[in-house]
Amino acid sequence: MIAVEGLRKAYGSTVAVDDLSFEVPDGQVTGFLGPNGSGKSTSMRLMLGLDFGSGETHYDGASLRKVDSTSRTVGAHLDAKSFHPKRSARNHLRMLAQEARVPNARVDEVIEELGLASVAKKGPGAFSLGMAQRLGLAGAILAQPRNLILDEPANGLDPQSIHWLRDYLRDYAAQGNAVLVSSHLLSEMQLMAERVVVIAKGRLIADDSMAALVARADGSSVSVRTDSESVPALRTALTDRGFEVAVGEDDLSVKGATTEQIGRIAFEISVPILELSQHQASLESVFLELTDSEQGFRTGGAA
Amino acid sequence: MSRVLAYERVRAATLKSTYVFPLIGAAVAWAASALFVGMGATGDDVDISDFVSQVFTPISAVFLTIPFAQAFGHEYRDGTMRLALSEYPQRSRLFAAKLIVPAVIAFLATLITVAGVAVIAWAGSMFFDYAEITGLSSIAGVAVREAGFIVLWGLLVAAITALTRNMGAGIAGVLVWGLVLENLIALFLVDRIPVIVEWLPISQGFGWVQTGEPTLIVPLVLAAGVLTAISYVKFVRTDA
Repeated sequence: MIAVEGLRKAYGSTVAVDDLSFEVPDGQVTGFLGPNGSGKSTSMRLMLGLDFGSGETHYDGASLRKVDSTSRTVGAHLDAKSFHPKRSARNHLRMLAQEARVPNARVDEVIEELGLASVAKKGPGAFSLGMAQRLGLAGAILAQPRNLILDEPANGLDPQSIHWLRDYLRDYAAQGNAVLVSSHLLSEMQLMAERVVVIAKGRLIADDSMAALVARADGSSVSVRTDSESVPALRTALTDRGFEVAVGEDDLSVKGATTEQIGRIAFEISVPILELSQHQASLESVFLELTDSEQGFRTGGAA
Repeated sequence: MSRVLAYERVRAATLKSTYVFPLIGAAVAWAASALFVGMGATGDDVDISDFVSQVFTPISAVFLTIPFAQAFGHEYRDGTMRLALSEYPQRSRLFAAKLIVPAVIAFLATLITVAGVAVIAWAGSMFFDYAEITGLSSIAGVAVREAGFIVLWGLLVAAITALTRNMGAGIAGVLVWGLVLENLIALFLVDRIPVIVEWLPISQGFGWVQTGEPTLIVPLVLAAGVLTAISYVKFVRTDA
């Protein structure tokens, strides 16, 4: 588990990260979202001790400076092309393997696992962005760390590779590891992450499970179609239970309720249900809703 | 410490340029040696330390110390410095390893280079029409002094590279310092401040290699020490 407490970083009078605290639990992929310039990358660098600021980050309860092996504790992939262009992919991994005394057999195993065997002896200078991302991820997981921090690992990947990455990271988390992933691909993040941390202007604005975050959003509602005579009774029953209801001619739009809850209520008051459908907000709409007022520089938006 | 040294060793060993540039430095010195020998008799005996000083030009020093620049410059340029620092949060150890490994490479490469120069000089006096080489028995001392001088030169290269995060600045900076700035200082200030010539690090360092007079190496040791200390402070206190 990664526990971030009170991270802060300022460049002169500009505060890039402001009192940021959150947790990345074991066994889950946690999405790290925020508009451009919101402080995601800076936060990740602070978490790894690469940038200097205030606050603490603990990995399984310990600071990085106090762990026996850093690369067995946390694996990081921050930049898509962090390689010497002429050093072969295998040698790049051999170099990274030194900290945790990872044997060459593990290097070869990771090369196979991440589909790098055909380019293992080549310099990554000519790699596609997708292949470079795989090599970056290979470096991060080389020592099988309990925690992973990945900055935009899906950038430049084709749909097949994104699908592969999603499955890979979910599997990795399912083994009891904590995985923090930032991405601009919100639809992909909605499929990949079970938990979401959203920041804007360096401040935390949401930290919740993906399901809860999406259900709370304005765009999430349940459409109920019934016969026109039953509309008033159903509306009264739903509003009495605290749900927000918008009424049409023979249908209702209900916010904050699940289809199951509405079905039960309708059954209780003997109202026929002709159609019941869930309209779930996308992570994108939730993200825009959350960050719109905070960030203040959306294209076309007010400053 | 052994892990970070192993990292640096593998980092250097897996780059072709780690071998190529020192080899070029050695080849330049050997070519200069062959040229001197090929030019024939000088009339006088030639001391081996004078011979080494003559053939060991700054060009060789530049190539032999490129591994120092690569230790910092490549890592900043390619973004692997962040990878390294995320694996080795104790920056002082990484900094030390980045000086130790290139120092060992440069020291050994210089010893081999000087040995080659001595062999060429000896062969010239034995088999070709070249002057009698004297002082061959002192070659070990000459080689160690030359290697020490190259390591100190390399520390300057490493320090400037770490400070500027630019390999070219480190390599060219020391060359300009040694060949241009010190000569200009000597030229324009020697009349007004005669003592300043005794404190020109690289010029005095060349003198130390040739004569072995210990006081001559002091300015270079001080310069390397101060610049290394400044670059260390920046390395451990600024964002990666």
